[in-house]
Amino acid sequence: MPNDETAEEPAGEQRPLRQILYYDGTIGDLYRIYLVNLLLTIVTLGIWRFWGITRLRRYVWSRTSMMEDRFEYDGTGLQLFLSFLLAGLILVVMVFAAAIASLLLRHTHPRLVIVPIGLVEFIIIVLALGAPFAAQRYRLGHTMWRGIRGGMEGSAIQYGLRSVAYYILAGITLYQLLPWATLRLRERLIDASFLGDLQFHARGRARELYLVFLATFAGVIILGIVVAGAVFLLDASGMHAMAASMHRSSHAPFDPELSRAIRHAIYWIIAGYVVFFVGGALISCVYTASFWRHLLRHTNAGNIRFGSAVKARAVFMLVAGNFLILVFTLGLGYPFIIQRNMRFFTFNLLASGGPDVATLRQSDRPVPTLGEGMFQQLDGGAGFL
Amino acid sequence: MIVPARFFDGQTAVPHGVSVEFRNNDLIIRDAEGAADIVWPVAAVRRSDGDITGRTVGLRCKGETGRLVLQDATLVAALREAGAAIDAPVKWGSRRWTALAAGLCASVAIAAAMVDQLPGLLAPLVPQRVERAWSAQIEGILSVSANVCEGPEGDEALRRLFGRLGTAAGLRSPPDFEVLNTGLVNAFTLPGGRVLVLRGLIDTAQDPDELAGVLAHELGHVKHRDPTREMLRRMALNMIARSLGWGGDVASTMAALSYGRRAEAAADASAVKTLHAAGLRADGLGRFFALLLKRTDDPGVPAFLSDHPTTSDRAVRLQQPATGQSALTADEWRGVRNMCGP
Repeated sequence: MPNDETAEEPAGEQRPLRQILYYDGTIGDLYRIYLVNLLLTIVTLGIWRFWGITRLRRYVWSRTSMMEDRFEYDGTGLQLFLSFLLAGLILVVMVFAAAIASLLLRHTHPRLVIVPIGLVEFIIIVLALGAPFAAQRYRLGHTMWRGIRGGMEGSAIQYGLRSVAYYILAGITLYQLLPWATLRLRERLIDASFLGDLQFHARGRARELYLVFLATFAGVIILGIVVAGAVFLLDASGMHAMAASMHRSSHAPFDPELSRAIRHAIYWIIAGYVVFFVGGALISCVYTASFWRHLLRHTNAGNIRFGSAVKARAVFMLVAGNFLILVFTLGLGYPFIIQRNMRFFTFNLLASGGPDVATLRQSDRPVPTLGEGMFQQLDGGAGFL
Repeated sequence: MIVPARFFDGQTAVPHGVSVEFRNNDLIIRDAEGAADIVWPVAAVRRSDGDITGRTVGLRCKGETGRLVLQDATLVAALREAGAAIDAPVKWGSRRWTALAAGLCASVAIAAAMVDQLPGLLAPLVPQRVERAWSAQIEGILSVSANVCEGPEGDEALRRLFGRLGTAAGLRSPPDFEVLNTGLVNAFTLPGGRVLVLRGLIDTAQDPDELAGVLAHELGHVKHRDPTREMLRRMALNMIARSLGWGGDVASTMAALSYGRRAEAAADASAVKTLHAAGLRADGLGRFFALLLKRTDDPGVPAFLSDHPTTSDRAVRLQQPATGQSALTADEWRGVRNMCGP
């Protein structure tokens, strides 16, 4: 077959954006893999999970194609398992060492007892925030297209430290720097990524996101105030009972009227929380969608431009639908969620074209063998993507 | 057999049109543009993609980065026959689906047995040391030691009452107990048979016989080793939930409701027997449930949210004649009520 992809592409920046990845996995195939995994996971008391994730990934990668060639995933369950064990060992040893150090310091410098514990807590936070970087490096490093391997360069620890600093900044500005912090961190993840020798690159402008962020931020706060006000108005007596019980002496005799009123108040408060979280999720989807449109519009790889036309409504339908599927099937609808996520992702990622096959070359970057363990440990994730 | 295929050399992403020949246990890849032949020994050929339907087949050679994409099923079959490690595309007939369904049903049944039956069988085998460790762990969570009430007269009175009830219930040693300064109307039994009595229960009980009824009920749990069984049940639930990736908390909240109706009914029956055997009035427990019912009767709460769905049943079922000794004298009862301060 002649190599005609490059020849026919018009040069220049103005090629239109269109869908670049196609996913054609089927729900039946996914259930075949998922149900066998479920059975083996139960039988092995959970250890099969790592091999199960690998099987699902091998299938999903192989049903995703770019320029009519399918992706390949060559990670192994054993690597995931060993990485998980190693990360667990590191965490245990660190906590143990901190405990010993504190015990030793107790006699000589009682005031310094807190130092080793605080240090280990800080290290764990850095590892937790750096874990997504290491996990992405493992996944990309085991992703191939036309025999060309993906990968990542840079340090997960450095990414973790940077995340700590950025989130502290976001916190002390009462979250007003959050768009800047998340944008810069996403850019780091993109900038470190490669397919062969083709590097991805992203450079957005947080200030363009700030207005949307402020609007959704204010929207969520206003929603909170409205919901809280509504709960107070609709069940004023319950709220009074609640306040009264807080000032009561613990020796006061049991008062059935009060406890009934408090129980009512608790139901109202739970209802308020549900309304707040659903409404808040609805409002945040506006920001999420514009964040990704912005980030992808400012992402490129060589002369490929990326973009997305994802709508807030679509993000909400995806998130809400996934949530309902997970809740109402007690997790057994997981293949539907994979299917929905893959369709959503491939449909909403646009690009001006595929990689220039004449110049795309293999890289001699080392293939990661460990790396996802810390993510699986600290994120608690049975996550597959 | 010579078939056309697509080849990627593992250095660039340029697709090469090639013809592939299978000869003498070698796969010979011949570039249409006249580059040198590439030879893959069939023993080193592997599947490179995870497409279980096998509509296209990606192949690689061990130790090389090149990729061959075949669409010709007969060549793939020939390679497999010659010993190449290429998974056959799996056709799922009804037998496979049946086996899977049977396997899943069996594991559900095993899980159900682990939660429902196994704890009852294993509870008598748990050594006391382990029970005490569990008990200490739970007491740590409830911060028991910070809330203990220590009125000497009340303590002495309760010790005598517990001793009398313990003997009547047929326990080997008098049960250990603690009164806690907490307003909740409840009493718990910990693994190993330690009973925690909450101040709210003593405050709410109208007379010592109602309290004695509840204590006798708790000694029923001690006798049946319900707390140990419950611990084992939660461990099993946690293990199952974790293996499904649900996280341990789901299971413990689901399990935190109670020992289950069967165990509660058994403890109620044991309480009545114990009180009779001790020569005490046995109407206290029934009256206490009736009292709770009157106080918390709330039509606004659906039954499935209430943690004591059978309170009214129990009040009726536990009706007993008001004969027998009172559990405590008036002085003793005053001492018990003042244990956590006047």
